[in-house]
Amino acid sequence: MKKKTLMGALSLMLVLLLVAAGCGTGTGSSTPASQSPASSTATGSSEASSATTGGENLAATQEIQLDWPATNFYSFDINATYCAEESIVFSHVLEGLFRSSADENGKQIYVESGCESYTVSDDGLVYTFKLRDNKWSDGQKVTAQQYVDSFRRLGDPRNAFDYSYFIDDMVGGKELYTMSAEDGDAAIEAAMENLGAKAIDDNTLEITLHSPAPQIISKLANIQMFPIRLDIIEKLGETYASDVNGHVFNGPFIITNYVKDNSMILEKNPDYWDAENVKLTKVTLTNVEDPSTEDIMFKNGELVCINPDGDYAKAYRDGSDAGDYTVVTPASAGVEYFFFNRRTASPSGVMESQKCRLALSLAVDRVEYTGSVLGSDIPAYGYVNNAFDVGTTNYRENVPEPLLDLQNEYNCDPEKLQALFKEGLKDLNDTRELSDITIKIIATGTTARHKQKQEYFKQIWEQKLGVKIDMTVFGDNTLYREARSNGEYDMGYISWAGDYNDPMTNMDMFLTTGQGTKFAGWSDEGAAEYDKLMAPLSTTVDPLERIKIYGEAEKWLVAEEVALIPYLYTEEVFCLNNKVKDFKFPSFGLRYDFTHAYVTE
Amino acid sequence: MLKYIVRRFLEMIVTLFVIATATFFLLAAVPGDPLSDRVEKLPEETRINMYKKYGLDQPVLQRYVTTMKSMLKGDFGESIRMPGYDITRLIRETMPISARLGIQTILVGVLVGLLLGILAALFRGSWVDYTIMFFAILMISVPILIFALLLQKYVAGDLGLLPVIGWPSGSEQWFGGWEYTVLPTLSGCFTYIAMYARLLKTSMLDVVNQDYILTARSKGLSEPKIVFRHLLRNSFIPVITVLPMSIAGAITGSFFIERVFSIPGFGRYFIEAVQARDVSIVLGQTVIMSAIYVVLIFLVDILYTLLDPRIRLSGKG
Repeated sequence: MKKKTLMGALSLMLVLLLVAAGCGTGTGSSTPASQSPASSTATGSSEASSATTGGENLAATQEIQLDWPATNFYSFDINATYCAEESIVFSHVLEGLFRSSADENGKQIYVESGCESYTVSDDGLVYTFKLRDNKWSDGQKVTAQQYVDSFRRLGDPRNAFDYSYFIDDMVGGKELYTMSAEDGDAAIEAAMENLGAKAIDDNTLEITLHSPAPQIISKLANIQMFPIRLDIIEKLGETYASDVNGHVFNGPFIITNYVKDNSMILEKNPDYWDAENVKLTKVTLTNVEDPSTEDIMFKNGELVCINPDGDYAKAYRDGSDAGDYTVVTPASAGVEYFFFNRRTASPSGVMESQKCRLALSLAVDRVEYTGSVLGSDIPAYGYVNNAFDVGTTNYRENVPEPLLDLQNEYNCDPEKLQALFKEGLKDLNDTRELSDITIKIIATGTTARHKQKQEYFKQIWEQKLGVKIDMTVFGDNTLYREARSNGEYDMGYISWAGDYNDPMTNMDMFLTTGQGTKFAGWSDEGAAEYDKLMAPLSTTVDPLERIKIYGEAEKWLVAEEVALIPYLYTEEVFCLNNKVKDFKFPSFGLRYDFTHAYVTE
Repeated sequence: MLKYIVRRFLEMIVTLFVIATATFFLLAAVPGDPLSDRVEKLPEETRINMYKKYGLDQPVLQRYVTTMKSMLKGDFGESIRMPGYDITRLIRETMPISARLGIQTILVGVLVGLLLGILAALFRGSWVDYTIMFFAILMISVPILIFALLLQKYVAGDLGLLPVIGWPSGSEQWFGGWEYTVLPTLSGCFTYIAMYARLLKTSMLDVVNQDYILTARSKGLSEPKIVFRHLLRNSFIPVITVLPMSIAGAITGSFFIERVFSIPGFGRYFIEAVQARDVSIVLGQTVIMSAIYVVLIFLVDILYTLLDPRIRLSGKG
């Protein structure tokens, strides 16, 4: 009896072994749904296609596959979303008043998509948008009221959406999103009614601002401000945010398949108003997490566009001469900077001295850091990158970077820098020697790139200023934030990417109402002073005038008060397969715009 | 026997309760909460509203009571990081994928490992033994990630024999789409091959020196009979002991393999949920993982008696 059991078990194991061997060598005949052979698009078809665009032959199959960090895709509720990966999807399957894109020169533009045209009143306060005739995928018309519904829902304090402050510029916006959920339904609904957004008729939307804010256009290109369908939200209930089933679309593509944290398939929306100019029939978004996998798939043509970083970015730049792909670096919207603890008594005791802060800032050799240390990104002598416009006027072209002159004057010379630092100590009545001063920097990040940064700044400040640097690195973000909110630091650094195309998205950080006082160690007194510099904006409409005001404020922040040490503008590197054309890389809102992209042979 | 099963069952419930409680308070003790990452850019008012929405403004004990109450009803609560998802839905959608990969990996890994172990033991001291043990040590020392990346680069990338990434879905979820599963299965099974080959060999060498094997030989039993009836059966006890750990580990997914081959499995959530302090998901995972372990260990205890009648189950200590 016992023997039989054992022999039975053994023979079962043998059978299983055979099955397993079958698993190992067998090849299925059919293609799994999650991984259709998108590579065919890149290799192209040998048949000559009759369709041509500007003398180029269109490939027979207009399908592409992109790498897409699906793990950052959290919600199908556009008002609730807060990640770049959500923007890429929604900007292509939904349509708001404007679409973030880039022109032939790669410059950020806002294309009128959901609106045909718009007018602004002379005082810059009333925007009237004329909507295009467009339909949702269930046949219903896109109406102005659906926009109003969206703005109100976004600001509703009961929903507690991350981007509720996007309605800040509208009349009654701040009053709405700063309410508490406990203020009662009646009060909240009254505030929603009072929001400065009105549907004049089905095709006319009017937005009223409390003070001039040309950045409203770029804010409206963010998916949180796209129209919504209250009837669908009600019908789907709890699954509206988590499930794609039942959703309707009004953009150039529709979502046909979604595997959570893995992949998504977009197909062309035949009912889209501009469908004849949408050439791609299918876009597969796949989560390829490992850079080496991405490399294999880009080289064999399965992925048409990738966003490499670190050593891979460098290798791709060096190898772009072969002509298989083009390296694109869109104008940057991100900046990295150090902030000072001005809220509590800092451990070193020197953070209150403007001269000490300035010496720290000028000791950083930005060209050396981005050039020979990192081999990437752009040296920053200001707080606002070259991507930013006010209206359609570029900011940086009109305002020189505030730190440039000072940096030239000091030229990272240790003697001059130490003299400046000592003056600062004198002002504070601090009699310590430089070598007795320890500055505590808190940081997170343990990747090679982070380590490089932490080591560089420790070394440069110890060398140039003769002070000691205590670099405390937290393996865990949450622990880092804990130390920061307890004020156990002198300095920390941060990487910031603008949400919309206006210097305000960086500059509002240091206002009293901004977040700088909460997590970048910024003092209330400093904020109050800065508020005054920024105040004239509320009555200024002219872009050049606004640029001037921003310019003064930036100069004060970076070179006079020294509220922060900007050291680099981040630079994104994209590689695009040369067979794919009209694939755009906007600087704001979303990474890719492939609405009008197509594949050539 | 019945008494024993009832007792073990009650013990399981207590174990799970203790584990859930410990996990909850450990998570509460670690600084930070699931929202702190998201709210730092936000205005104060929005921040307060968000904390209220998820009940994170409540004191820890009150949250514990609420959590435990709903857990009794089988509701672990909605994920904060992934709206609309709770652990049940996450498992429903991702577990079959991880489970298939895990089962394939375990089958190949354990069976090949056991075969190699038997060979190494039977030919101990010969070149067969040395070769097998050399590769076993190599397979244990090299991280899974390296195998996965190398296989992917050479087999799928350069040679183009198999797909680089992907996983069967829909009707092919359990059977079919085999070409997608080859590399992930191979990458994962090396560790098991090495582990089980070494384990079984060591165990067999212990047994082979026992008196009863000598007795069997002197009785004139044939070599296959000695190996199958006496040697193997007695050597399997340590194998059976570690097997449930391997199975539970494998079917709940491998973070690295799923990552490299873009497999939409369960593995990643273990790490991500903890990093994000996504309490409901972490609790759910821990309790369910523990349940799988406890059940498997229970099954193994019963298996022991089949393999070795000297081990007896009893309701007493």
